[in-house]
Amino acid sequence: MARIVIVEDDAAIGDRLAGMLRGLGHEAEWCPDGATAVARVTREPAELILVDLGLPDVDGFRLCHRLRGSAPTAVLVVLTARTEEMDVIQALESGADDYLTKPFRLAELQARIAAHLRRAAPAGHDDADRVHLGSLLIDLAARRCSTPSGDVELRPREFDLLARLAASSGQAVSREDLMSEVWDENWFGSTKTLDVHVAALRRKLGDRVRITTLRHFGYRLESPSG
Amino acid sequence: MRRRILRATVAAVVCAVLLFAMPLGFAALRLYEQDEVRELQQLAEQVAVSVPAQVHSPADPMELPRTEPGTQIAVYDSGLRRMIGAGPASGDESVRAASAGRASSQQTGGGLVVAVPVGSGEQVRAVVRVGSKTAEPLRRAALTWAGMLVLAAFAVGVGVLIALRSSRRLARPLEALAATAGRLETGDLSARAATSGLPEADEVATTLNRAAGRIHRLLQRERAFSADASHQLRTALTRTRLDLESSLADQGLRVPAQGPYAAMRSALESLNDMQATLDDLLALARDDPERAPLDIGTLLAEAERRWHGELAASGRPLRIVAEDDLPETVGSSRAARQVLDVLLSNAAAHGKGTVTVRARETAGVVAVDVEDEGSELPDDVDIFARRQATGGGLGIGLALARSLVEAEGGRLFLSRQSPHPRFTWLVATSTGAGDSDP
Repeated sequence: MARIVIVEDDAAIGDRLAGMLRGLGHEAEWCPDGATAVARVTREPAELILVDLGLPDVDGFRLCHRLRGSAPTAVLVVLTARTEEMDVIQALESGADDYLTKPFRLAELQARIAAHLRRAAPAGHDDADRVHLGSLLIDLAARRCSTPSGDVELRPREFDLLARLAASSGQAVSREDLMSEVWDENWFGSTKTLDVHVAALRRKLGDRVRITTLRHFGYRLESPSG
Repeated sequence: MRRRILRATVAAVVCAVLLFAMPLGFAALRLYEQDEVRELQQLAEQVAVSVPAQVHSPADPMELPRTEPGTQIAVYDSGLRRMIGAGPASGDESVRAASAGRASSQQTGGGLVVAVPVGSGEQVRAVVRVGSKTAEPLRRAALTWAGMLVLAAFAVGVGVLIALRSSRRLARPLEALAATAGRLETGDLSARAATSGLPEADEVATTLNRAAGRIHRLLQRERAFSADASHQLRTALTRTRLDLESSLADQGLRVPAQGPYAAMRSALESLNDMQATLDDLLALARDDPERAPLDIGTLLAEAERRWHGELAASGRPLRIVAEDDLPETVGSSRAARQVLDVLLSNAAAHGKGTVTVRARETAGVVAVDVEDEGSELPDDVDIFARRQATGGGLGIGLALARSLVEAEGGRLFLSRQSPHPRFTWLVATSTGAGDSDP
């Protein structure tokens, strides 16, 4: 099904996880340290990478950076024994898409992996498959986001999120709706991955769109004025 | 402190000057009065010489010398009647005393009166009385006092200057010590007191530094221990959990209610309890200092004021961007200012082009990005490692900034390496966590 790389220094956990994922029909590989993982991912792209932050050879956050560089399209999920909120946010800011704190439930890990690997449903696009947002043009069929000065490189989930927000531009969209429609309807646990994707959208789109945070509720993409 | 030293010194100088000057001033007045008496006596003696043997003889009228205005000369006969000159018609007390044979001087309400007898022994033929209404002694004394006042003012002025200097010299080390103690109190454990040359203050500084160092080491050890214990326990729990869960999963839904599989189920339940206990313990162990709110907007405005000029001088613009409605942040503003200064001076010294500082929200906390258009950083160097300042202080500054940020519960890291480096500072929030999770 999908190629998944596990970066974990604890052999028992790495082995177990790889076995479990293979059991689910994925092509899973276990790397005991950061250097091996970077080499492996560079040679053969992976769709999803599970990264333990506490590795012996390299700082986990820097590894996230490097993996993000070597595998720009892969989904990076951090497995961490660090529970401090700031560590989690730092990991997400360093390029990770999502995280799970140890010890996690197997069911939860499986659900997350499934949600991240789920392809965006190729919805039947009709006339409205192009959305104009000020100077921004979102082509839903071609999955392209362009501006007068060129295309904006968006990762698949970022594109889905932008499309969802643009579909109700000017309206508030709740976190639950965004999570279930962009990721998975059975998402449980932290939704920080949503915040990171919004942050990435804001960074990549700059001043062209404005995404307002509605604390304790969700987000709103402001309609372009004029 | 400074004011107290100043006040004490000035009071001492003023006391000394007063104690010295008052008797001196009094003595000067007495001296001038005696001078005046002597002068009048001389004048009286002079007149006495010219008094004829027969005082009442009209053939030989007396002539009195001309005098300054305010000085009266009169000659009295032995019957105390005024014969010539200006003065009371009949002799007053001093004339009476002189008629007894002794020269006398007296201070009266109107001035000084001096009377000398004319004649010898028992035979006093006449008395010469000289009275002076002038305030000459007082005038001269006043002049002297004025001079003394100027000198006294000068002495006090010099005293104040010396007091100012010594109060500054004494107070500065103590003020520096107080500042260091304040920084330690707000959680900046890298603060150390410098030696000042004042032995007593230096002794306190050394002790304070030693105490701060010990607290810092203890805290670091504590944190490292918590992190290690947490990591080890969580890893072990994960391993056990995976073992149990995957074995149970292999069985699918046909898990018998008894036997080893039931035991595995209950072991999993126990693991849940252990995990909850671990979380509680770690939450208890985490020190959560009381922290004041930190206004990021003001902080960035200040940083702009401090750095705009310096960057503009080398032709580099500084851009400050802040999202509206940022979450609340906490921490020491002094530490925050220092962190921004380290990041900006780093960008000024090692970067190129426009420097952008952006405050934004990420996952419920405030992130401050500092980036410029400089070249990418080498991949194999940890720029946050504390090392000798070879490249213009890059190493020690970033290490210090990171320790300051982490002491408050925030994070400082390189969030982008290429094409241009970007530093991201996650600012601590009051809850210690974002509130974005439902």
